[in-house]
Amino acid sequence: MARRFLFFFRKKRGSRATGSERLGRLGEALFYTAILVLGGAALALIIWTMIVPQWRANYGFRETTCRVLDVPLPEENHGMESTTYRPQVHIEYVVDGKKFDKLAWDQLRTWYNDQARVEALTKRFRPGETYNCWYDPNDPEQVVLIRGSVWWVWLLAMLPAAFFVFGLIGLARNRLQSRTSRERRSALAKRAANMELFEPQRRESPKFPTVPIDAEWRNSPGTALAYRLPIATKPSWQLFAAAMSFLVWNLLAAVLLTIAIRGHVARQPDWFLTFFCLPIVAAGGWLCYYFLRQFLITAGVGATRMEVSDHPLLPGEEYEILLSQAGKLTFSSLEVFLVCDEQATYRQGTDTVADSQQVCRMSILRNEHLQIQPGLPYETRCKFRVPAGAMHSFKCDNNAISWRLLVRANVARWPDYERSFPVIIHPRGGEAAAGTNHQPHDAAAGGVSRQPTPTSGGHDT
Amino acid sequence: MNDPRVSLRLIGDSRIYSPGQTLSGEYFVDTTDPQEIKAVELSVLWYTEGKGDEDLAVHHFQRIANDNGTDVDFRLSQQFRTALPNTPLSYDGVIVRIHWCVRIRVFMRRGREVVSEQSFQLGMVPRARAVE
Repeated sequence: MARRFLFFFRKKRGSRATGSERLGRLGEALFYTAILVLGGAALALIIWTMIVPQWRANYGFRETTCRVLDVPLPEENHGMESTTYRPQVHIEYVVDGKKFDKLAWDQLRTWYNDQARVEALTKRFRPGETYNCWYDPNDPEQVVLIRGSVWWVWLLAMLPAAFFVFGLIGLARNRLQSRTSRERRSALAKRAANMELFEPQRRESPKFPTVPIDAEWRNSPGTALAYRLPIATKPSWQLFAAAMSFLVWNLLAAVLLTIAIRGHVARQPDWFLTFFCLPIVAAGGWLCYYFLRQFLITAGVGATRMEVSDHPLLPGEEYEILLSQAGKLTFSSLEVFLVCDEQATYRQGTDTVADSQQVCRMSILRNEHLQIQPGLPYETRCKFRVPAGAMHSFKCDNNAISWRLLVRANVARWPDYERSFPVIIHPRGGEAAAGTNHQPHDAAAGGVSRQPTPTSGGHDT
Repeated sequence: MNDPRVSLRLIGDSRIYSPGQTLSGEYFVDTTDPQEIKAVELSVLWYTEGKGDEDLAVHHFQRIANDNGTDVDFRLSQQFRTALPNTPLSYDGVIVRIHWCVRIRVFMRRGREVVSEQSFQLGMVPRARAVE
């Protein structure tokens, strides 16, 4: 019963989202309707008061001649902050034998900020001389001396037009969503993706939906084993990111600190700013430490290379790896783990938050007390077996299960470091069911596509 | 007026299926007024559950509508079958879980919907535990 009154307090994630989906859609529809109405009203106002009169003056008014009686001073409008000016010329003209005597200029009654500019515009009209003018045949009292299109009217119309289109698309989307179930939308989206004219760049294997394709891995042959594994993040990029964070943050901290110190020197201390600076300076110090650490790791530790005897990996199968580590270092220990991480992203307000959880960490190699000489990389091989019950790699928009080989080094008198080499694990059962042509050591072998068999009545998407 | 009840049954002794295996079943809608049913959608789908926002994908989809001149009596048993895909396998993790189910969505004339689903397991991946 209580939930009936708590429609707005939705649980957004978890086993079941609570709250009223229908009420949410109604609120969304009202929002888009308001945008549509406001945008439409503003657009209609601009069209009715600016675009139509301008168009009529250009194409609907009749041409005649007029005599300038006088060129008075521009009309003034005193606003809150500035004064604006409108040009005007006193003319006399005749329509169907009837004489008219009007102050005229353009149809939009344009106002200018610069008085000198307005006077320059009206200067070419001399009293007593004859000029062309255009009058409205339906209302001859409406007359203009200047015709033409003003570009900013169209620019002004674009803003409400954008609101109008946004509201229209939002309402159409809302209506489509309220009329179709989520399952149907998913099925339609998949069918549309399959009907694309150009082959889309696939992120997942057609034989193993949601499993990332391993083309990147298979494109790189190893020197001793079948494939050289790509590294997750290159140390040079980590160093670059650390350097940029260190520089930007400490520049900000230095500016704030200088202002605070100047206040103290001038005996006008700003204590709020002083205390505000403390955590910023502390964070700057930590960023400095982190940057130096990354610098030492990048500069002092050589390249780490990992090769594997086959890829993708299968649960229960045995594989061989080759680990190569360059640099002039003394290691207390050098370890390799097979690690599985669950990764989840979720929206919290306008932020997207990512979280991860390690669910497997299997030690596959541990060597201790190693000394690496420059120019002679340390190389070691070992065999390991992927756990028989290992979950396959999985990647979707908001959730992922990823596997990697993690190298962890404990270096004597130097910062410790970790380097990751992602791998893809395919399901064991799927291999048999799909009749895969798993071919070890064949870098050119692509996945054999096997489309699911359509069944009567429905369709497999 | 009572909402209709959906009876959904998967054929087979076990709720655990292997990749590539055929999933078949039947359903019917228990209602006093079959004319009230506008359409029925059957989906074989997987969805995620856990800390992240939900991902969902439909593997098999079937919609039977009563608005195109056809007049299907949903009180009679409707059968379906589909070959299951290789992935994703059902998974019970710490912050990510993957569930498979057959979902029936009944659309009524006045905008109401009745949903019924039957879970099943694809593959046999052991439950995961947090490591630290």
